[in-house]
Amino acid sequence: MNWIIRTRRWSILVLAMLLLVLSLTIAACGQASQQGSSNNTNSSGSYSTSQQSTSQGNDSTQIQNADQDVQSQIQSLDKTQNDVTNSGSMQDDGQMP
Amino acid sequence: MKLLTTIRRFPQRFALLTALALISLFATAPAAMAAPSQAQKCANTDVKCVITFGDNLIVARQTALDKLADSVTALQQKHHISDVEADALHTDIKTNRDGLTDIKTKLDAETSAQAARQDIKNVYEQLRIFAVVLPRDARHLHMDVEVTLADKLRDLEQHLQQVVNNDNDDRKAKLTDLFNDYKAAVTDAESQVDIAQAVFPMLTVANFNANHAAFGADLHNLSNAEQRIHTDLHKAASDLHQIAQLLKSK
Repeated sequence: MNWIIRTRRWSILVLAMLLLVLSLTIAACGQASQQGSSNNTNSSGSYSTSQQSTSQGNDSTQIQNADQDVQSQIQSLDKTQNDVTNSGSMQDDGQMP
Repeated sequence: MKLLTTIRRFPQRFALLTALALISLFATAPAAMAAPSQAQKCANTDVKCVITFGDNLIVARQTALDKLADSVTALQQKHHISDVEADALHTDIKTNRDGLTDIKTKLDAETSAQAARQDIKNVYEQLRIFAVVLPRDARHLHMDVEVTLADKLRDLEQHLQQVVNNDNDDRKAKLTDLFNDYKAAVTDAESQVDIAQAVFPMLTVANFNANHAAFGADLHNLSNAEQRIHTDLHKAASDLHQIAQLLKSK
């Protein structure tokens, strides 16, 4: 009788251990999947409020970059304008030796 | 007593004035001596003198063309003009440079002053580097920069529109005003580009030789159109800068 009771106790203990390991594994998997899905949401950009401010920040940065680029082109524009003015200072006056 | 002091100091003052006069003479002498070389007059049969005159004339034009070519390359490398636009200008510069080289080769081999003088005349009448080529190509380069910039500003328009539409702050009205001003300036610049582009084919050596006044009028019209594009682009760039500053301030 003692032998039967001892075997049942061991079985219950092993089963409990297995259930504990299984529940821990499932919990870990669930956490990983939740983290992945939250990353996806950020990259696709759909609903979070922090995402909206990031988008506005990106817009602003893009416009700052475009502004810098345009200002550099404006300098080239002014330089070529000066070259146009200077090109009129030289003359084919037809002077002969 | 005062008079005596003045007289005693006179040699010192005289020496100082002489020194100043000598310094100014040495400083201005090279320029004064170089000036007549372009306007020098050669004897009727002095071939060497005429050839030297012509060579100087050609070098001045080659130098100016090389300077323009350097500007074209620099702007191409910055992507402020397209490769196609740069190639077209380089081709024209090379054609004219080759023309100068051909005349120089002929001039240097001349044995009569009369033939050498004719070569010099050809530099003026056949090539017109200073009267036609440089004013035209410098304007073309300026317009190429204008077109590239106008295209860039036009491409930005949609993105700016989105940013202005999505803005919910009290600055939205200011952003909208700037954006409308920006669009109007870019549109006006583009309309002037069409006018300017129509003038370029008329700016030829043949047209200059045939009707100097008409050539001058075309050049004037082109300058007006380019100046207006220039002003428009400055305006649009300023609007963009203000929009960028407003967005940055959030």
